[in-house]
Formats: sequence, C-alpha cells, structure tokens
Amino acid sequence: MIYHFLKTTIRNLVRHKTHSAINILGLSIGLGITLLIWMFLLYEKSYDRFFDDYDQIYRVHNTISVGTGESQTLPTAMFHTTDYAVEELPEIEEYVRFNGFFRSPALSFKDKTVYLNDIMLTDSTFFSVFNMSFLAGSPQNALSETNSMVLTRSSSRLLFDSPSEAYGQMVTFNDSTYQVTAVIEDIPDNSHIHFTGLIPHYGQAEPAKRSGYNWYTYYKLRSGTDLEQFAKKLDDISIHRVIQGNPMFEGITINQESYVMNIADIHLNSSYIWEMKENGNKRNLMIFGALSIFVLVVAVINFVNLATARSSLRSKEIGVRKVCGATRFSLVRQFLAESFLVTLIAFFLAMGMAEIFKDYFTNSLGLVVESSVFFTPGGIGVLLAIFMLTGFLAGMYPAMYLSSFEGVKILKGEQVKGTGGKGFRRSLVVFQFLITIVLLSSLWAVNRQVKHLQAQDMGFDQEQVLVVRNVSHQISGAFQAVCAQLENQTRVESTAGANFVFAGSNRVDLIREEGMAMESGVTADIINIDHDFLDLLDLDLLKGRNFHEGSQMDIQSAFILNETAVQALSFDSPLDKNLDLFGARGPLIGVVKDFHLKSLHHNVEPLVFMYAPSGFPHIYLKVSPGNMQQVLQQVSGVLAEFDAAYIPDFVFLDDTIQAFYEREESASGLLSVGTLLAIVIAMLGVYGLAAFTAERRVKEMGVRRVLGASMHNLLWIFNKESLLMVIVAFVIAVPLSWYFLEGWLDSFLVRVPVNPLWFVAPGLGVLMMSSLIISAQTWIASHSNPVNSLRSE
Amino acid sequence: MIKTVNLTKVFRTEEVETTALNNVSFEIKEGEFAAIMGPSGCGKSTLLNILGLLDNPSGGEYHFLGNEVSGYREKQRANLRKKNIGFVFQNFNLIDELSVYENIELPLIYLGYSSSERKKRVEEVLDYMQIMHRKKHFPLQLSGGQQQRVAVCRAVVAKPHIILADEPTGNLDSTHGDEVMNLLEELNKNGTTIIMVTHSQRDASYAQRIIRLFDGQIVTEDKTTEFVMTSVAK
Repeated sequence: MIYHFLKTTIRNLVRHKTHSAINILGLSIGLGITLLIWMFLLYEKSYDRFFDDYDQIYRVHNTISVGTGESQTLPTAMFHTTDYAVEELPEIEEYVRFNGFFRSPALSFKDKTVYLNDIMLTDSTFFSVFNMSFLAGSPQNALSETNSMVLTRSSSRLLFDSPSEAYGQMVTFNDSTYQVTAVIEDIPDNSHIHFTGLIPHYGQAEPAKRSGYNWYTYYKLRSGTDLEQFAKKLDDISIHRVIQGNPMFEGITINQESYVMNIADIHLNSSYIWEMKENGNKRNLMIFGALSIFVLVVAVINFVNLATARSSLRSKEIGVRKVCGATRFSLVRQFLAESFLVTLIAFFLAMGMAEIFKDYFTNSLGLVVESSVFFTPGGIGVLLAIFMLTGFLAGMYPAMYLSSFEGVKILKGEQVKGTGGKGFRRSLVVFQFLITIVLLSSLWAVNRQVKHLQAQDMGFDQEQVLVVRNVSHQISGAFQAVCAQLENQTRVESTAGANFVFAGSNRVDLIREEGMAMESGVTADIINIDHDFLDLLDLDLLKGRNFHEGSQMDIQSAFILNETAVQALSFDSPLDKNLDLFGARGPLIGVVKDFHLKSLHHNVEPLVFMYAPSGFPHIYLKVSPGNMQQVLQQVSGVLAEFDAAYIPDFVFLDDTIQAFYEREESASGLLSVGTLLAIVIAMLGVYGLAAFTAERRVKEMGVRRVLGASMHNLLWIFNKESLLMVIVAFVIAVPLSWYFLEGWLDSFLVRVPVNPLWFVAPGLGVLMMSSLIISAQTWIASHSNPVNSLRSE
Repeated sequence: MIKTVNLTKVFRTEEVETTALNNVSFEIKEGEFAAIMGPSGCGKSTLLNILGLLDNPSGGEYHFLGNEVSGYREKQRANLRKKNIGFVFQNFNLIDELSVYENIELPLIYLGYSSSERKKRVEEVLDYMQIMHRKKHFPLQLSGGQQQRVAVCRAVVAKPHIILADEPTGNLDSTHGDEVMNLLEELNKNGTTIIMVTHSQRDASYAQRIIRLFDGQIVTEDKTTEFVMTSVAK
C-alpha cells in the first residue's frame, strides 16, 4: 500500500512540475532556515553539558550589598566559605575554586617568552569536578605540588612543539619557577569556563585568597540536594564564620544572599560582571526560535494552500479510490504519506542549504552554527520533531479536506467542495501576510534601534583612538619612555595609560567620605589613569582639576569622580570633600561629566579615577586619520624596541563600541535573512495560487473579455481579494507588532520611538508585491485569445 | 440479491426540497441483467448510487445480499461495497497517474490482497479482456473504448457479485459501445448480476428487464423483449 502511495505521489510531483517545485522549494527554504536557527539554538543549549555529571555541578553566586547600598550579584564567592562548607555540609561531593589574578604575565621557557591571559589559581581538586582530556600527565598529579602548572594545548603550543615535549619542563611564570605537570585539551568553545593554564593556589601568598568575593566556586552536589536550603547554609557560613570577626570587614554591614546555579544553565542565565566570558542571551534565543517557527509556518501554509487550491485536480482520483473501496482513513493516510514524502525531499534539500550557508551564519552574523549538534540524542530528537511536525502540519488539513469529498458527486462530474476550504485558505493567506508584515516591521525597528545606539554620544571621543591591550611587564614598566617614543611617531598625536578597557571588568570597591560610616559609602568602579587620559578621550571635566603630571600628592591619594558618584554620595559641594577608599585617603579634586564605560544596555555607574604615573597594562593612543596599517606598523615598531617578544593586541576604540551591540546586530542580521526568506516563500505561495487561479479562471476571463471587460476591470477583479486579505493582515499586524516592539525597545536605556512608518511601509510593500505577482499572472492569462480559452473549455 | 421497499431519497437545500426517489420498490435476483431507464432528472443515478452503497436513502428499506443496509455508516458501506460491487462509469474514471495495470489493481489493494495475488488476478482479467499488451500504458494513451474496457476490467477484477454501470457507452461511438455491451453481456452470462442506467434503447435491449422511472417513481417494469415490442408497436 505504501509503495502504491509513493508511486502515485512521485508521478503527481513529476506531472505537476511547477506546483511541485514551488511546494518543495518553499518548504526547503523554510526548513533550511529553521535547521540553521536550531543549530544555533542547540549549540547555545549545549554549553557545559559535555562535562561528566554536569547536572550535579553548581556554581555559587552571591547577591551582596553594603549597608543600605544597592545590591550587586556576582558569579563568585569568598575563598574561605568553601573551607568551612566542605567540612560542614555533607551535600558537597567535590569542590573547586579558581581565580584569575594574573593579567598578561610572562611565561618563559629558556629564551622564549609569551604573554598569557587567564592563567588561573585553583584547588588541586579541579579535575575531580571538571573532567578534562589529558594530552600529557594525569589528573591525579596535575596540581599536587605548589609549583605545578597545567597548560592547555594552545598555550603549550606557544612554547613547545608537542604536549609530550612540554611535560616535565621547568618554566618561569610571574617571577616564579613552575613545572609543567600536565597538558590538557583546550576547553571547548561551548563552555562558560575559560582559562589558558592552571596553577595551585596553595603556593600563593595568603592575602590573595582573602580579597573578598573573588573566587569562582563550584560544588559537585549529591543528588537530591535541596538547593535553597543549601544556599542558606552557605550564607550562614559566610556571614558567621567568614565575615564576622574578620578585620577586613570591620565596621561594614554586608548583606549576602547566595544561590547556586547549575553549570548547564550558566551560559543562558548568568550575565553578571566578572563572568569568564560573555554569556548568551536567552531573549535573543527566544526571538530566533520564534523566527524559525514563523518562517516554517509561512512555508507550511504555502503547502496547505496549494494542496487545497488544487484539490479539484485530485478529485477524480479521490472519487475513484472511494468507489474502489478506499475509506476516508486510507485516503487521509495516503495524503499524509504524500506530504511526508515531499517534506522528506525538502528536508534533504534544506540540510544541503544549511550546510552551504552555515559559514555565512558564523562569519557574517556571528552566530555559531555546528551541524554536529544534530548528532546527539537531543539533536536527533529535534530533527525528527521538525520533520514530523512539518509533514503532519503540511499534510493534515489537505488530507482531511480532500478525503471529505463525496465520491459520487465527483464521479458524476459535479463541482466538488470540501468543508470550509476557501475560507480556511483565505485565513491562512491572511496569516502569511500578517507574519510577513510583523517580520518586516520588526526588522525595520531593530535596524533603527541598532543605528540609534551606535550613533549615541557615549560621552567621550571614540574616533581615531587605538588601544594597545595587555602590554608586557617590560613595556608597562617603561611606560613613560614607551609613550615618549610613541609620540615621536608621525601618526601618533598623544598617548595615555589606564588599567581598564571599555566593556572590561574593573575593580569595584566602596568609596565614602572620610570619617563617615561605611554604610554611607557607595560601591564604584575604581580605575587608574595617567594625567593624559581625560584629554585623550576628551572627557568633560565639569569641576576642579585634572591630575598633575608626576605629582606625588596625587598618586593614589586624589580622586576624580563622575557625576553619578557625586550624586550617589550626596555631595553638594564635592570639591570640599576628602574621600576614603579602604585606607587610600585624599581630596576629591575633580568631577567629570558622566560617560558610558559599557554599552547603553547599562546605566552609568559611580566611577572613581585615581592617578598612577606608570605601570599600566593598556596604552591609549590618539592617532591621525589615514592609513591605519601605517599606524599599526609604527606602534609595533616602538613596542618591539622595548620587548621584542611581545605580540601587540590592538583594538580601535570605535570598534569596541560598535561591538557593544553585536547581539542586536546578530539579531538584526538573522531577522533580515529570516524576513527575506519568509517574503520569498510567501510570494512563492502567492505566485502558485495566482498561477493556478488564472489557469482555472481562464474561461471566465475569456467570457469577460468577449463581453467587453477592459484589462483594468480584470486586474481589479483578480486583485481585490488579495487587497482585502492584506488589509485584514495589516489591521491585525499593527497592534500586535506595536505591542511587542514597545516591549523590546523598553529594555534599552536609550531607544527610538515607535514610528508608524515601520508598519505602513511593510503593509504597502506586501500589497505591492502580491498585486504585481497576481497582475502579471492575470495579464498573461488574459492576453491569450479569448476564443481559444473558450474553446479549450 | 437486491430488494428495495418504499425507497425514498429527498434532497434538501435551504429553500428547496426535492424528492428524487418516491417509494421505489423492486427486486433483482442474482444473475439478472437489469436496465434502469427514464428521462433526465427522474432519479436513475440517485437510485444507482443507493444501490451501489455510495449513498444512503432518506427512507424505506434496502436489502443487499440479505442485509438491511439503509442505515449503514460510510465505513460499513465501503466495506460491503468493495467486496461485492464493481462500477462502470460513463466517463471511465480512470486515474491518469496510474497505468492500466495499476488502475485495475486498485480495488484489490483496498481489499488487502497480497502483491502476488493481485498480479495473478489482474493478469487474468487483462488476458480475458484481451488488453494485456496495454497494461503498461497510461489512460491518456488509450482510446475511449480501450479506457472503458480497462474500467470494466477494474470493475470485475475483485469478482464482485454485482456490476453497476452508469451510462457505460455514453461517451463512446457505436462500435466501441457495442464492444462494451458485449463484454457486459458476456459477464452476465458467466453469472455476474448487472444493473445498468442508460438512455440508450439499444443498450437496454441487452438487459433482461427494464425498470422505467419517472419523477422518482417506477412507472413500468418489463421484460426487455416485451418492452421493445411494445415500443415498436406504439
């Protein structure tokens, strides 16, 4: 029976080539974009699931506030909390803490030196929690000695030819000697954890461990642990065992609320300061998921519409089959089998399309898409679900509709009607138009918002500013000489130093008026700069003065605050105040106008500038416009004079600012692709229906022309139905998309107002496109000789 | 084999009620060849559809092979129909996408025959009807007469008790029409009951009995020879 169905289906597909091509092409485009989006969604969902027992591994987060100050959530915990917790809480099976104290330190082997970010201090238990693949060494001994060092494959390759060559070698790191006790495989990209090497913390000085909430802390918890109760126990330990009685916290009221988050949830649910890398965005994922459903629905609607519109062509077959003994059920089965066969063909084409275009997604839209995500049980489940759902949705209504035809009437040559065919088809077309208008409006809104964000005044001059990040110790040690040399270059106008980069993490500490209670203080970003920094970025000094070059009085004992910090501290005349930053005391010498350290997703936070004359990890350069390659060559040349081994890490400040909105740009890019394809599919459907209608109504056109109808009359008759459908779709689409866009735009601090043009233009666009297609079909059909069309009937 | 008692069929629309059959009672015995005649709109096809279990009557009784089937549901009717009734239509009603062989095979598929059994049965019929050489052709490659021959093959392949033919020669010229009528006559001689709706006096003369309908009622029921003679005498 199945063979018989398939045979009939294939012959039908071959016989009606145009219709089949429209159906299969539409479905495969819809499925193709759906597969690509799901590759991305599954990849985002796959984060950290490759660790053994990932469902038992949790990271400790803490929401803390000082006194009555604002609370802040950190993905980190205090070091010593774990010491007590491991002893007292039986829920903990294994634990590990790590912390990246070292920024761009030199790692040397013999005469070769490289600079590595993100070498972490950790417990020897690291590999008991996180299983890693060992290329040399073993998990048991990897971190057993105070001078042990574990390198990742990529880090090891910078100094050694192979992991086995690295194993056992003595290297110099941060002025100490370490032995490479293991080389592990690089951590996969789909992990929230990032490091380049590990060394045990127990070889380090005690103060490093005491510096507040600085440790990424992971526990492997026993199955069935009550997470809320467990977090409360952690709070108890932190407050009563670690904070109380600790001189570091004397006089401060710290409110702490812990919670634990499973590592598989971190990527999409944790986006706090001090994350090891930027995590994903759940809302974008939901938008992308909705987009995939929209595009697929548009494609499925095409299939349904064309199948039901063309039902009269299948009616004789249905009648004959019924007379020969087919039940309604067996006909439904047949039409469903047809739909699944077409879906299968489209599915294979879609997989080919997805494979071809996945690099475009990764490179142009910045979305990681890997077809390998489908080779997992979950991935196979998603593929099967997409296939089954598409086949079923595309086939079910036509199957029910076609099988409802009355066999007798068909065979007697009466005009057949299924139940509710035309009305349902019209509703589907309206829905297609509606989705298209909503997508076009959203695309326009997202593009406007991204452009609006990028055009915002961030409060500083971002043009022609080059940042050299993570310079080596030799270079930062000779900062002033390096700057003097750089300023001698023809293309360099000025230089400055700072210990921060835009969008990076900063030291956050409590600043208060000297002599006042801790509770009166506010937490602020603390940044060290030199005297040129404010000028270089053209920051607006509203009150007071800049730091004086080389002034011993200013070094770490004078403060410049931003407006927000001044307001938070409730200073009416700020320049009269002396400040206290954990022992560093001095006058408030200036107030700068607020500017954005981070993207416009974030409010401006209190900020404190302190003065340092040298020792900066990052150098800022104002360069003259022109060939930037020449600038980079000049700067590289100067840096090489001070440290030949240093590989410069350049970034233009305006690129960093643009990158703030990568997520929105990715969303906008994907929305463009999705919208374009949805329009193509919807218009394919309009074409298919229009072609079919024109073909079926050729006699009517002949009669009308013979009776004197003009071309205009015919065009109006054939266009008025689609005009009405676009109007209905428009009326529903406008409030719907207006509502969602208002919600989306409200999530930004700076937003564009909703513009009616965003809806009117897509509505008119859809109307024009469909009218063009229908008119073209009508024109072609009506230009055949009316006598011929009448004869052909 | 077939017996109707006061069979009634009423078609209702929002405004109009049309009585297509009005208390029609007759009986057809196994092995009979009966023709149903009458002017257009007299209810011939409605009667044939009810007899063929394609439609239910609005009232009265319909006994088919000893069962009262007037209240059967579609599924029950389909089950009874596919085992016992073969249909031949005026416009052949072959499926264009299926070959001659596959069109004839169709009823056997729905009866659940195995592939080898289907092959055997179809080839027997093709051989009997002398169109074996056409088995791979598609309907559009055949003449009207050949298409109706294939339709007859399809009607008889499942060895039904009864064949219902609705104007079987209506779309054929007289030569091809005679061919088809000869086929039906031969099938009847071999024991198949045939009920045929026709406008053609010539075709009706092949039947052993003619039931004449007018405005949904039986007006005469004659032996063919008597009827023909009466008509000629008038």
